[in-house]
Amino acid sequence: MAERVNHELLIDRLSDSLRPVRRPLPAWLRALGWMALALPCGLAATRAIPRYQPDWGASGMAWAVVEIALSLGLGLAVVVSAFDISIAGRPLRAGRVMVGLGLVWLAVCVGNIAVSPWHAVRLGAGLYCYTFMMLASAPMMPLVVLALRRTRALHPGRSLAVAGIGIAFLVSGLLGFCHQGHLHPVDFLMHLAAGASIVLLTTVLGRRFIAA
Amino acid sequence: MRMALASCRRLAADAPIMHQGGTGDVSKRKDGAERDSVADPALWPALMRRAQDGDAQAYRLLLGSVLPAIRALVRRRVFDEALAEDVVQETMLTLHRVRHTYDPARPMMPWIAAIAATRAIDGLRRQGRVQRRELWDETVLAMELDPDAARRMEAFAVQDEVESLLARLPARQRQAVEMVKLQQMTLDHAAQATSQSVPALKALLHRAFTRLRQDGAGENG
Repeated sequence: MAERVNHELLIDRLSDSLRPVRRPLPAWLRALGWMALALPCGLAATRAIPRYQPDWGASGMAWAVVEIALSLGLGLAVVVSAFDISIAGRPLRAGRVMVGLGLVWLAVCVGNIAVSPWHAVRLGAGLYCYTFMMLASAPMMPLVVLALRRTRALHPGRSLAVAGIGIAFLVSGLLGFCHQGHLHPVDFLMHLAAGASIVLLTTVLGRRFIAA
Repeated sequence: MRMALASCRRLAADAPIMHQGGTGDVSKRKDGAERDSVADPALWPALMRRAQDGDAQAYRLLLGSVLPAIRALVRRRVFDEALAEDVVQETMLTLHRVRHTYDPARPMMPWIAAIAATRAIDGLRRQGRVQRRELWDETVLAMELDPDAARRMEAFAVQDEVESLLARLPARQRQAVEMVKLQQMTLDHAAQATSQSVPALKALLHRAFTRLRQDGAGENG
């Protein structure tokens, strides 16, 4: 059996280079602070395209209101989880609850599609929604990478993917304020496509920056 | 998860405890060098809190104390001795980089175990990649280091074989072969140098070659 390596030199070097560090705030507090900065930035970014003003008194808006509330709530919960799991030894908590809420959100979307009046697919349908979501997420993605860089992550891909899902839900909530109450299947598919793009971009862009 | 936590606690409890009193005490080694004693695992969170505030002595004591636990955690996944020690070092470096993320209100072993497990998996993946891409062939390695090595190694082998065959000949026959074939002397010069006639030298060479052919055929089939 080979002799064990003496790590005392490394311990000495690490101890000599020690500087005081500040512990990060609790994940929920960091997520709230991040949201307070990221949501206005995301909303400001969408000024690049004309905004649709929904008629809040129109039929079908109740579905939209429930969808917005669920999206924003889920987005916040998922971002809190992303900040939490980026720290070593912290498992994903309340994963089942979030998956359950996600299924409720999906059911609300499907319900909205079912009660919405059917119309033929137009060329470029859903493009506005896709553009809106990508524009809104554009400042949020670097902000979440910066926030995660504070703690770094042992599994950067996992933390960023979860953060990306959180951003996708948040921008979906923002989109609700600029979207008609009725939901068309093509619109919904483009929402999902934008969400997938956000998760992919967040993961790819931030991976190198937050790896521990 | 509960099982993992229990195993972490067991590991922490298994780590040797030389000192159970207050933190920061140091003992003198026989060689005179100062070395921190090992702290009770129950004290690790307090030591880390002090380390986060910049207390280098507490940090040194903590790192020395967690080392056996890290080593034990790594050895569960990595069986290669050298790689395991590399992973232990990587784990210590990562622990240093993310030391601010530890919350002293929580148990420390799950935090350390997560870092050690990740670094062990990284180490195994890296080793796997290296093993898949690298070939260990001494001949190829020698050729890479010295492209002329193969030719020289072949020459050495031939020289060895010739020397061993010549060693079996009687002294006079060997001398004749060396002069005429290896030193490339003419028959006249060789005959003069050995004080014999040219026909006598030719007869000597004939007998020598006959013997060499027999020995060579016997060895090489």
